Amino acid sequence: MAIINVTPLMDITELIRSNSVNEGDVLLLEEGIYFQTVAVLKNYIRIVAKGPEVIFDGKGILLDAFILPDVVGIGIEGITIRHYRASGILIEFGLGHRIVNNKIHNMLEHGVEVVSSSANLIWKNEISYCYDGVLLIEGSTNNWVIENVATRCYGDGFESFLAPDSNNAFISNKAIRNRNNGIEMYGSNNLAYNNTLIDNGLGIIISQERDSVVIGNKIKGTILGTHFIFEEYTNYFVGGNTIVCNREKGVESNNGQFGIIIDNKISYNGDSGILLGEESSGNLVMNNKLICNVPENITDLGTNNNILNNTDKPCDPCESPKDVCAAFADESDNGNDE
Amino acid sequence: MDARMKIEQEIERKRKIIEDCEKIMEQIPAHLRPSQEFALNIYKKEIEALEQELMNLGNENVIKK
Repeated sequence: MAIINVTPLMDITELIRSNSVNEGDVLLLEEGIYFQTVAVLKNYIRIVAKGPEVIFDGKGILLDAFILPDVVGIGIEGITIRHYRASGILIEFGLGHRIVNNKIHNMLEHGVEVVSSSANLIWKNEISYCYDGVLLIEGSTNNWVIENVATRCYGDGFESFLAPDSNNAFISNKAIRNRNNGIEMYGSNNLAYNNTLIDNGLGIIISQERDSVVIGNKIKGTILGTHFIFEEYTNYFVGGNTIVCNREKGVESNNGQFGIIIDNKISYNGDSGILLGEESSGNLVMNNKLICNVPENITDLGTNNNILNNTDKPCDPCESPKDVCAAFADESDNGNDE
Repeated sequence: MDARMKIEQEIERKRKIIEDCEKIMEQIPAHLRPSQEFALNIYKKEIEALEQELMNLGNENVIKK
């Protein structure tokens, strides 16, 4: 195992391909501007920034900063990536990569794109002005997306794309001012836990298949809708979330079936707190605290839904969500503003 | 969003990126072109997989009808 010093003048793809670099080696990057795309074609290579000014700049013409195709256990740590035409880091058919503490901004595609890959850790990255912050697609499963910040992306903060993208966890991330959704979570048995989602187009969407869990998230200031459950999604669990001051509904189960909505605080939203749509059925709504959602705290248009033991408090006289939320607007929930 | 629409949008965006990259390949220094071509091939494969997914969705709809 070796630590190999790397400068911006070296072709890192060629270096990794050469006999000078072996599995387990660390490439320690000197500070400077790197103008290249790095394809990592060996397993267990660790690419580490020596200081805060290690910058990969695609100058608007290169596609990706790092490509990890069909390899295992690559570490990328502490690097700033900017101005690439596609994604900052593209993982394809990979396993067990560790993408940690990078700053990725101004991509035409995604901050991190994970294609048909599993068991990757994406931790503490700051991503802004990309399409999606982190995208899991084409059968990406069992990935950990933890404590990242995605701001001002043109698509979603964090996304698992379709039904095959299952068993992933989104934990303690922040999604702020993204144009589409804070978290778009298609697939089965995905987890969204303790995320903060502020001023996005929508909050969390769950769709396609069953069993996903949404716990302890804070969702505020969404424009188009807050928490949607689509496509006959079955056996979802939405618990312990704080959903306040969103322009539309708090939780909308369009046609979800056999879900549980429990222990949420849903207040001062500009439409119903919880809306169970006409095709929803067999859902349990219990122990939620609902305050001043307009026009109703709970609207049940479905069949066989069970509403039990919720706190259902209307607005006080002359109180409106708009007025209350204006007072919340100064809270310091801002992310990076690059 | 409808799955079909999601896939179509993803394909459309990726196609545009590929087209633009192919157009500007001449501007890219010669020693960096192999890595761009390598990346392009990955995106082309990704589009093929998404197109396959679209076809499967079409077949599912036919079966449902």
